[in-house]
Amino acid sequence: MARHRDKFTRGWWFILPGLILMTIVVGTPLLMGFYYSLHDVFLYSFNDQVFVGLDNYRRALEDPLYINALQITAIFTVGCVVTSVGLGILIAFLLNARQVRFRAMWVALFLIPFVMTPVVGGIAWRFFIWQQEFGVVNQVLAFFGGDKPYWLLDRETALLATIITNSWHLTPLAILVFYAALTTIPDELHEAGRVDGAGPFQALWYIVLPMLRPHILFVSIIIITSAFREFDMIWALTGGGPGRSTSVLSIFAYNRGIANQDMGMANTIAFTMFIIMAVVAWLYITLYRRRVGENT
Amino acid sequence: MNKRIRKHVFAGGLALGMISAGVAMAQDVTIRWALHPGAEADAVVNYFAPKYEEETGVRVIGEILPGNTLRDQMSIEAIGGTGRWDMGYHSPGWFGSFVDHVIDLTPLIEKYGFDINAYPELVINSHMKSNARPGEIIAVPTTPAAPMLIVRRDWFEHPDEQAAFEAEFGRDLRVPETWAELREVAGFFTREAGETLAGETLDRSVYGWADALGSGAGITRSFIVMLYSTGISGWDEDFTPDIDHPIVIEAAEYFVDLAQNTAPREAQNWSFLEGLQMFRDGRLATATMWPQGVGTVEDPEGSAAGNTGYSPLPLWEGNIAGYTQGTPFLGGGGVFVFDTPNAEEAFKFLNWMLQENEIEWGVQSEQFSTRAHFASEELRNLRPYYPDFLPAYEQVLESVFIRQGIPEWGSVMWNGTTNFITDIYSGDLTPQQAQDRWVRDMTSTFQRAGYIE
Repeated sequence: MARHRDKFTRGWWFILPGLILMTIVVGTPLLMGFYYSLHDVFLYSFNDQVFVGLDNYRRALEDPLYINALQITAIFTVGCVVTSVGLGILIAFLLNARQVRFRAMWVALFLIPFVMTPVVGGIAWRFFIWQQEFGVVNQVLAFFGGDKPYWLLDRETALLATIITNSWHLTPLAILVFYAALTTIPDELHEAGRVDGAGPFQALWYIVLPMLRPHILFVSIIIITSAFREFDMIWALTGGGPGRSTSVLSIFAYNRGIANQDMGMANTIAFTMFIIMAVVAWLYITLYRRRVGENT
Repeated sequence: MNKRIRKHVFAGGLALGMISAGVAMAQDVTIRWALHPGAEADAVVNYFAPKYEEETGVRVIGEILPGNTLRDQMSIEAIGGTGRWDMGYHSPGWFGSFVDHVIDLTPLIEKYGFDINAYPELVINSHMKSNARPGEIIAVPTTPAAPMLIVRRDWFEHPDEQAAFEAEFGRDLRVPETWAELREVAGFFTREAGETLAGETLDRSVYGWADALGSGAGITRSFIVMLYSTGISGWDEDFTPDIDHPIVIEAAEYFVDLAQNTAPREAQNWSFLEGLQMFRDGRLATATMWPQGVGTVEDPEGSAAGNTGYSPLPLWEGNIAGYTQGTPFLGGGGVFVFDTPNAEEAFKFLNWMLQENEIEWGVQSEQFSTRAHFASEELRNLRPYYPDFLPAYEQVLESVFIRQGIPEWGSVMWNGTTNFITDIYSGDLTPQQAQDRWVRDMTSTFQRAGYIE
């Protein structure tokens, strides 16, 4: 019993430095953010902070602009997760095919968007891909006789364009993880599938996807958290416009905090983002663990 | 050398070293200035700062910050009391944000004989004073600026265009004097590629009017110029909003119609001056232009060079303030001095640059604000287009709106305008809904600030 307790105590000593560091770098800003969210805090009179309790939360939830930003964030996040995970699995599966040569080179090439600074990627896409007159997308469309839409200036297409651009940035992460996972699937399973007459897409559906489930969980969580708080890519692409069609929560919080100088409200929005993300992540992990546990 | 002598030599050396270090520190004054990007910042960094150091030994470091983060960075440093900058540049709309951190310049103005009367009264009220620091002078103007209307003079004077316009509207084609006239002219000149303009077949489409309409600052700046021309102040001296007036909705509907039907779609990506290349390249008949853009418009490589006419913004007929010409807010910026040990040295530099080198400041920065600037033959002859531009710009500055320098101005007026016009422009809210929300938000902010019950 005593030995067990010693072992337990020793374990705590090992994680203590990390725990202290985490408390400082994560806990302190979180607590400060929560503190400010309970106060009227304006940048122009920063030292005159008035305690208002949960009033900022009430004001945020009653604000249709907050609800609008929340809806856009949800669409943006789901769009990015579906696109990135879907493309990631597909590309990783193709990369893992026996016929593919120079795999290391391909993996390295696919990683470029991920290592690029999002704001640089956003500017590049804005001017070279989505630009109405000379952008690549419209050049291709025009080649096939199509119209040249204003991708980033039309409310109907701006959000789609930002989802695609952000997915371009996040998909390499999915490719990397799924490709690494695919290399661990025993060849015997593929051989057995082939013997049973499975084609490439049946192999993908019946062999690969079930084996990838834990990795899909991991990648999805990373992409959800990344997309949910995305700011710089969207800022570089549209600045939250046209209108409010790409004004996600982080841009909404920025505008409240910096443009309005209302740091109390900005922290309130940020804290609600934290709560939503924590709940979503917890639900996602719990539900998925159950399923993974049942099916694998 | 005995022990006593050694001690004395050591003490003497130490004292000498300390005195030398003290003298060196006294001479090594470095003034740091947070600047907004632009020709005036370049003039400070590349011309005035080196010249001042050469003359006085005082070093001036101009740090040019991105325009959209300048205020935030200065606010944060000021709140933190870091003393990172001795001076800061900003638009007077946000002077109120800094009132707790800047010094009253009045004693220094008196001590060094800075002549505030060199500036027009409107500039003094806008760029030197703040309602939040009554009775004090908290800044000096460097780049007071207000927008004006520019037109393609050669197109307006072309006989074919004049005849066609008269046939369509029953009056002469002339530079618009009212916003209603501008709408007609802008619609008239908006043409597709393949159509004819001033006797030539167009390769690319031409638009009747443009301004920066990008989300956030672009569309806000563009609309608020029109809004102030209606005579709206935002609120009266009792902090009662006047934005509930029907003229606000009238202006918004006019603006949306003008912008959506006569301006290029690309304008929705422009934040400030970037769209003026389109005017330079012969694709705009008229545009709203801030004076910083005149060099772009008159670029000798473009087709607008020598063909551009300048005038004040059009009059809003029926405006509630009785203005006789378009009345934008007075923008641009001024410089305040933070409460740092170098405050006095910083002011001495400003005095030297803006008053002892008054005309040179105009030459180098291409910014004009004092009476001497507009009277100067040297400045008027500096560029071939200045004889046309400067008198028109002087007229613009005669009727400008002076923003109330309260700390909440940015929140209630600038961002209020952003929210108002963004939602109407995009169709998310009706003008009435957007106006009601704006009035509600403004009232709530004033209540929270304690201005009203």
